[in-house]
Formats: sequence, structure tokens, C-alpha cells
Amino acid sequence: MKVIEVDNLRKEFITKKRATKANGKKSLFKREKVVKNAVDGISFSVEEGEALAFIGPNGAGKSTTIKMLTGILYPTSGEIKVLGMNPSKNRVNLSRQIGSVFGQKEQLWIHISPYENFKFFGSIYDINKKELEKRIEELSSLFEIKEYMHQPVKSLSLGQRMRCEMVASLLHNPKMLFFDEPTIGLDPIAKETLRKLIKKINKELKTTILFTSHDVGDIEEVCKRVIIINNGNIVLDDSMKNLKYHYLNKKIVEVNLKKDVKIKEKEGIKVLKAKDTLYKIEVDMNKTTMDELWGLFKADEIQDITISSTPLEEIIKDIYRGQND
Amino acid sequence: MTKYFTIFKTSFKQESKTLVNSLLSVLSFIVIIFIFKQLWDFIYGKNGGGQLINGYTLEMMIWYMIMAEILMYSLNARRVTSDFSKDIKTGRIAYQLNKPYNYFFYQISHHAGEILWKLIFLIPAALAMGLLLLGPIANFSAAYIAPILVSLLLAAFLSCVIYGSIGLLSFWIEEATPFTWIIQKLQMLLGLFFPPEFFPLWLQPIINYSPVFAMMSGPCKLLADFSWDLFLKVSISQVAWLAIFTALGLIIYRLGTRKVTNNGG
Repeated sequence: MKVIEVDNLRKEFITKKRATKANGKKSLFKREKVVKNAVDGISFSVEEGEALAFIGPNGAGKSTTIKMLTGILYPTSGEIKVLGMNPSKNRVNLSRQIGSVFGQKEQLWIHISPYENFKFFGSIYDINKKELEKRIEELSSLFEIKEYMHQPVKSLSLGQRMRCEMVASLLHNPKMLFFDEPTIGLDPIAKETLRKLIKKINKELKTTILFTSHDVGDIEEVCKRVIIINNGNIVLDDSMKNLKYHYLNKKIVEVNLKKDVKIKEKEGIKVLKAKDTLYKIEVDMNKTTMDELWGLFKADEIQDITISSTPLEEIIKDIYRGQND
Repeated sequence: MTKYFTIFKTSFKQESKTLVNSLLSVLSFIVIIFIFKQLWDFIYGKNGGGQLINGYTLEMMIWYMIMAEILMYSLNARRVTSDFSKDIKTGRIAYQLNKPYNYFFYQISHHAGEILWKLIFLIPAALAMGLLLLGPIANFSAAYIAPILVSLLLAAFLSCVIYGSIGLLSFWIEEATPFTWIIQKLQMLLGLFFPPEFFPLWLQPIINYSPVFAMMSGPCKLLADFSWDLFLKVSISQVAWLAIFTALGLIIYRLGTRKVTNNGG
């Protein structure tokens, strides 16, 4: 079942051009309208229970799209259906079925405890007392927050606070959860824990996840599908598996030779860095083979060698750059 | 309605964790009352006890001023406006709009909780100061306590709605606090420093029908010289202005959220 259906969605922002020296006097009385297509005719759909990464560089249009999906912004044209509802017409009804976690914007009241906060959210979402207590019990076990659930939020670490933010977002049993950079500012261990919890929500509670983050590690670990948006257009919509398979065709070979050998570049073989006997070579497996590389120097000349795939972060950066170029 | 009461309760609970701040605020309140007492003593002269200025004895004047200061201290007008402004300017409002409540009422309920917490300290401090400096209010009856409290709460709530509505102007303007500054100064000039009777005859009806009467001079006059007629007049004014400004706030909010849809979050 499709939980999000987006068809040819567009959003224009109209700004007014400021006065410049060239048109200063005119601009005082009549400012020129500038139309920016923040989202330029995108279409996609999301199946129930999917974990989707929605990523792009700053200003690409991802926040605008998410705000349209939650009914905060009205589209200029195109169709959106989220859980069968038109978000701009049913914002309040939709808000009861979706949840959101924002890494940089806490929703908890900081002077009171997470437990008191959960009771607050229970009332906001009209959850009856018995059901709420049951839900708090379930989620506090799942997220392992019982130990500090009655301490004031302000005394919790960022990692503990984020767990509580997630519990607060799940109390009303949303069918869909929006995560906006939830791991920002967290240390590697807290990040790892949070990612595992998000996966758990997706797997155990069957909640559809829409995830935005600039941290590729988050996306790689949590999401099975990725949509990359740039300049208001979808530039990639594929499974994480395919993304890795198709784009991880470039291998990085770091080799330390026993003596200085001149390595000549060939098609598919690019020397990225050369210093004395140390070489960093990029091998495009679509254009060449490792045998071709081995042909450039003798096996007994190798002192040390490391072969690795291009990090996903580099691939995503290349996709961003490809669009900008 | 229940959820706004929950917001109000939670805000009250949250505010109750800032006990030291509240006590410091009360200390400053006590100092202000003392200074104003000295000032009015000087204006009324040494025999101020029996002297009337525009129908007010010195005691009535000080009780008037005590109520006015309670109202000023119970609500930080600039903070109300800036809370709305900050949410709008930083785009944080976008994250409030996807909750099942009305953002305008959410903020008002939030500030109402804070007001109630402050009043718990301000009212006893004000009464203690008044009784210590002036003794009991002449011709006062216990039956007046409830209507005076109702009037005080309505006045504080009205101020909150007015300054919140000003904050919503941030959808269109960069800085809304100067408007609050102007309204607050008008409130002080026409309501806090002097009762309406101290102004020229032509200005008095304007004050009496203005929001300043509902949010300041009306409840102050009730404490200084209670009458049921006056209570009725003040209540009608408060309810009417509350209805007007709530409607206005909701209209601004609705237009404002459309503005978000035009210009991004």
C-alpha cells in the first residue's frame, strides 16, 4: 500500500529583487519579482513500512518537499497524497497520524521530566490515560529510557534526550515518522545507538520512515531506498543496494612500491596522488580491470597495498556535483 | 479545549521550576512599590491621608498602583511578542504547525500558565506591601476578592492576546517588538501611572473605551474603590476586547500561515 503519492509537484517562491546601483531609482518604486522553483515537478511514491532517505545539498528543495508533505506549505501545482489525505487540506488530521523528530529543534519541555512530557503529548494527541500508560511502558522499554525517565530533561545528555524525543514522537502510534538530521551533534556511540533504534522502529513497529540527513552513515545504515534531490529535481531514486552496486564501481588502490616507478594513466586508471613510492590510484571497474593495473608494475615491486571502495559520501557528493555542473 | 488546559498546566509546572527567578522578580516588585509609595507621598504632601486628587485619596492611589504593578509584572509583554517573532523568523513555527493544535492558542495557553505562576508570588507580596504601608483598604469586603481576581486574570489574559497578536505581525515585518514597546508605553502612560480621572475630560472617554481600560485601569480601579457597577463595566469591556483581539489574532494567524506558504518556512 502506498502511503505517499507525489505527482508532478512544484513549488515556486516569489521574492522581490532589491535595488542596485543600476536600477536603484526605479527599484524604489517598483521592485522586480523573482520566481524561484524550489521544487520543480517531482514525482515519487513511498510504500508502507519503507525506510526512505530523502537527501540533497542545502537549498536543494528537500525541506520544502517535506513541508509540503506535512501540509505546512501549499504546493504551487501538482498532487500530494499522504496516507490518503491531501496534506494542505487535512493538516490537523494528518498531524495525528504522523510524527517528527528534529535533531536541532527539541519539542520537549526542558524543566520537567520526560515522563511528564509524555503525558503532555498524550493529552495533545487525545490518547486516553490507560492507553497512554501502556504506550509509555512499551516505548520506554524499547528505547531503554526507564532509568532517567523521571529526571528533568535539562539534566539529560543529548543522546538520552534524543531517545526521549523519539518516544514522544511515537506515543500516538504514527504511521509515518519524519526524521530531520536526528543524529546531529551526537557522539559516534550515541549515533550508532540511535540509528539502531530507528531501524527497530521501522522493523518492529512497521512505521514508515522518511529520513533527511547530511550524515551518509545515517542513511547507509537506516534506509533501504534513497531519493536524491537537487535544484528542485529528483536526480536519483533507487535502492541503497543498487546505489552501491552501480556507483561503487570505482576502487581506490593505495600502493607503496619498493622503488620509484612511473605509472602511466590509462582509460579507467587515474592517479589521484603520487608521492615518492606512494600512489593513490582510482580504478573504474566499468572501464578497465585490476589486471590492467597490475600490468603497470611488477608484483614483486609492491611493498604494501590497500584496495577500498569509494566511500558512499564521495559518491553522493559526485552526484550533487554532477547536477551542479 | 482540554489540550489547551494541558498546555497551560504544563507551562505552569515548567515555570514552577524557576523558583529563584520568580523570587528575584518579586524582590524587584517590592522595591518598585516602595519607590512609588514615596513618590505619591510627596505628591499628596504630608497631610495626604485626607486629601483628594481627582477623587482619589493617597491610599486609593497606592492600591491602584499596586494592582497596576501586579499586571505589569505578571506578563513580560516583550517576551510574549518575541516568542511569537522568534518562532516565525527562525522557521521554528513550521515544526509547531504539524501538531494537532492551533499555534496561536498554544502560545497563549503557554503564557497564561506562566502568568498564573507569577501571580502566586505577586499577589501575596502586593497584599503584604499594601497592608504594611497603608493598612486595610477602606470599606473592603471579602465578597470583592473573587470579582477582583477574575478581573485581574482577564486583564492579564487580554494583554497576552494583544501582545501575542502583535508578535504574529512578524509574518510580514522584520521586527514586531517596537509595536509592543509603543503599546506598552501607552498602557503605562494611560493606565499605570495615573487613573483615567487624572487626564483631560476629552481624553477620559477614549481611555475608558480603549483596551487600556480593560487591561489596566479597570481592574486597578476595582481594587482602589470597588463597586459592582464598576465590576460589570470592566468585565463587559474585558470580554469585548478579548473577543475582538482573539478574533484579530486568529485572522492574523490564518493570513500569516498563508504567508508561510508563499515565502517558505
